[in-house]
Amino acid sequence: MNPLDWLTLDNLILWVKPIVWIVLGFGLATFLGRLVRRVGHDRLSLHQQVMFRRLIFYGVLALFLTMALRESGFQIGVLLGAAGILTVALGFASQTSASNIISGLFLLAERPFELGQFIEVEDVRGDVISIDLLSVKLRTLDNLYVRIPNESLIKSRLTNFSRFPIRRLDLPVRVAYGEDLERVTRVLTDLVANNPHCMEEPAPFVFLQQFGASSVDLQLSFWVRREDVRELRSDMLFAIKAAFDREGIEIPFPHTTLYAGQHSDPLPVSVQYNQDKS
Amino acid sequence: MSAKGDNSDNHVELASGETLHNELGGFRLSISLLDNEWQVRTERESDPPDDSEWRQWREQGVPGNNAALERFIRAGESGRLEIRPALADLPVVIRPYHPVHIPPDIDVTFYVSTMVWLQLVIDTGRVLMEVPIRVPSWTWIGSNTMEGEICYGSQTSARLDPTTLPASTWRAMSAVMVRNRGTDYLTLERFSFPAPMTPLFRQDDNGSGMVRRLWTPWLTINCERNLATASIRIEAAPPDEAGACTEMTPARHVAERNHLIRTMDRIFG
Repeated sequence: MNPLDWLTLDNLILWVKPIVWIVLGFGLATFLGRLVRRVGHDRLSLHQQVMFRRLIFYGVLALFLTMALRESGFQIGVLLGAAGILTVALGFASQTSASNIISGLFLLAERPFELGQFIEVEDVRGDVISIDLLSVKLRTLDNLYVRIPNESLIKSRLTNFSRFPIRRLDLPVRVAYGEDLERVTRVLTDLVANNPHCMEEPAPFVFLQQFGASSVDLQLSFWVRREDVRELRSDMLFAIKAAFDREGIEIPFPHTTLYAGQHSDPLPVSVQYNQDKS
Repeated sequence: MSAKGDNSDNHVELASGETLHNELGGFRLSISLLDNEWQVRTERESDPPDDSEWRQWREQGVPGNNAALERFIRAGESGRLEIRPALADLPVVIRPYHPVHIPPDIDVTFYVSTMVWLQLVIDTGRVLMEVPIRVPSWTWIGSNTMEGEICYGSQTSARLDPTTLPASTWRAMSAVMVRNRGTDYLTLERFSFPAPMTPLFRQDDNGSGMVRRLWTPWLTINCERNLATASIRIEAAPPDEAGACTEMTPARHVAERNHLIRTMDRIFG
């Protein structure tokens, strides 16, 4: 049989039609995806925009692919049956991926974080830049790209730093035992009151944590907007150091005093020369 | 705003290479016009004096201090500029220095003042930038630390007599009537002033030479049973004590009903 005999107009149409359907579907899915982004820009969160965009994109594409297959003469029922068998086979072969996909669905339903939020998972902190079928991608503060499988996210302890608009900053402050703690408290609360980035309410407070080995350990707590946390932590520590220097409040370094008791003899200290050495 | 300068209308025409300096209470705002750009410099004293006089003067040349400089490319607009006061872009939580207890079935009017921002408006009507005269402090109003709203904080004496209000040019005066329709004392510790939904008025010049104050419309807070059922109403004009006034700056946001109701949820935190 001459191969050119196959190249009839009917055969060409049979192959071109599904391609046209796929191209049309791709175009429409892209258009609708962009429309969702444009319409939802002010109404939806970034996370919701991405979710709706993907749902519409893949939904429309799947619909047009199905139509393309039908145009090619494929039996969808047979295909679905085959796909079922294939899924089982693939499921056994790729349990990890399946677990990640299912974990991803749970994450979508539970929504412990959204795109753009700052989270910590397994000692990795970063902004969520992508939530995908198998994994979540983070951008760390030092601009590293970290991929975390969805399964790990479900199993691990996760901290979302962006969930609430305000956060409390707790700064440890150590002062010498000889300092007047009321004066120290006044200096610390004045620092907070004079910084407009620290919130007036909830009110700041100074908390005496413990009598440490070398210092009285205090904690200065105040509330800030979540976007100000990093900057204010450093700014306030600078300000505390400057204020303590100005006020003559001592920040002690760790030290140890050897004391043998009031009624005992001083610790005997003698220097002996080892004559055997010579 | 009393200006010792070009005119009382707050409109200024600058020539290229000229700088307009404004100074008030330890805050300096310098606007320079160049051939292709505007340059805006702000400076703040760390310990600002309680000075209410607004000083304005022109100078040839551009200031040398570039610490807080912002540049705006000109888009063919003229050198005409308006310096316009405006209320805050977020609600302001007003806290009396001491709690005030209001008996039932009593209407009481407090006079409070809130800080204003300065908007630089060019002749196309576009706002180049805006800057608060004093850096406001943040605060939180809400039933807990999860649900609420970030606002600006402001402490007040909550005066009952308008004549005792300080004649400050950089604060807007407001009369807030609280109507307690409940059966018990209402304790007023704080309330949220809906600054973004409030226009700003200025007293008309009556030729007395007195400082022309800024006023907001009269506000009424109705407490039907308790704080949770309170509602707020922004009237159309300032109170009678303000005298004749003209609207100077429109509200930033139109008070849509739904928005207003949401805001009211947090009047008292």
